[in-house]
Amino acid sequence: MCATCGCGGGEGARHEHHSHPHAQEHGHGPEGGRVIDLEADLLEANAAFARRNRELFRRNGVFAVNVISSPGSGKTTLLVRTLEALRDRIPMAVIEGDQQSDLDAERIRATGVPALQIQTGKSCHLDAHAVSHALEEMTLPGRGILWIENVGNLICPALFDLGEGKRVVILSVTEGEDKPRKYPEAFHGADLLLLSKRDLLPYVDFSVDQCSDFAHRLRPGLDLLLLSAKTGQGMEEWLRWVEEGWLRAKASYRPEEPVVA
Amino acid sequence: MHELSLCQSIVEILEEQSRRHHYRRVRRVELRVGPRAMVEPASMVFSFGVASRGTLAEGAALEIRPVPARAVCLDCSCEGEVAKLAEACSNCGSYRLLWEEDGGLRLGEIEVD
Ligand SMILES: Nc1nc2c(ncn2[C@@H]2O[C@H](COP(=O)(O)OP(=O)(O)OP(=O)(O)O)[C@@H](O)[C@H]2O)c(=O)[nH]1
Ligand SMILES: [Mg+2]
Ligand SMILES: [Zn+2]
Repeated sequence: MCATCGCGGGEGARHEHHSHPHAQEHGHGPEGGRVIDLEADLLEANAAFARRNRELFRRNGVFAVNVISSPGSGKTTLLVRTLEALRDRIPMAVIEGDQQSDLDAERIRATGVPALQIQTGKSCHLDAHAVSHALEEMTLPGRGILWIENVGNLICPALFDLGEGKRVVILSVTEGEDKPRKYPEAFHGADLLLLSKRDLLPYVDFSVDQCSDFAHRLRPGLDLLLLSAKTGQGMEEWLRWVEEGWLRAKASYRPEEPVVA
Repeated sequence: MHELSLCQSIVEILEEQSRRHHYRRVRRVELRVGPRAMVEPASMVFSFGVASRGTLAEGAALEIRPVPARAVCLDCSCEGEVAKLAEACSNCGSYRLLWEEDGGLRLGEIEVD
């Protein structure tokens, strides 16, 4: 049984962590049955775990970053480069979400940074509950950075708060500048939009301006960076963004405070 | 694809609530969907059929009711409702909208026996 929530643990374990809605009864409805207004939040179970995770990160001064993109836009490649650049100065760990396989976690471990793989099975996204279990199995990088590479998918992960401090959405220039239009929620919820594979820009018709326009309609003031993990172009600005987030998060380190979440 | 896990949550809530409200069967379920929820109605109805099979909600009708979000315009300060993401301010046409209430994703009315 797991300590976080008393569930049986393991994959696909389901819960009854819903808030108890204040339902009202209203007489009879069009189908001839009794009508009850439940007004129950479907995402409350996830939100409750996200609050716990966020509180855990706060007390440990951990900068948690949720990285979302479609498959193959360069999440793991960027993480590997980033870990190599910062590992000597900043404690870090990585949670890897994939439907199957341990491949990405192995790529991360090759840098010497610990990685935990969550296999989501049929599920197309990480949720706060899966992350809370992963956190029990690993050593939190106190006053450091926890990277969470979400399942490659630009749609579903956007709906699930993991308790992260910042959410980074990566879009590679080979995917087309219309993606913010087609998959708006991911961009609406992002703190930073990273346009990756900048080295390929000369070979594709990708308008950075148009992409930026669309993205700003969804999230006014959204930070946007253009980089190549392959050539290193734009990496400096990215690392500066990371360090600022890390410094801010580190300042909330209060391990002695009792857990309130 | 997350529609299936959402529908599993719906069925869990319906089963939980059946003990408090003493019903044995659910005939109709209303889902209140805000613009951020990104659920695809057809996929939701299909997934609900799968998730409710063999439960007290098997055969229930799933009604999807869009609920607008509330936002304030950063350019003209006018407040209003937004039905979808990337909508312009109805007063001045600006896209610089700050969302205050996202409409959520809620189970609304249910009809039961
Ligand atoms: N040219 C170029 N290729 C890149 C760059 N970054 C990543 N790639 C390539 O893109 C492919 C996918 O990269 P990954 O890092 O595995 O992408 P991912 O987003 O982690 O993929 P999933 O975890 O499967 O969703 C690989 O072949 C990388 O070598 C880049 O900056 N430039
Ligand atoms: Mg990867
Ligand atoms: Zn306006």
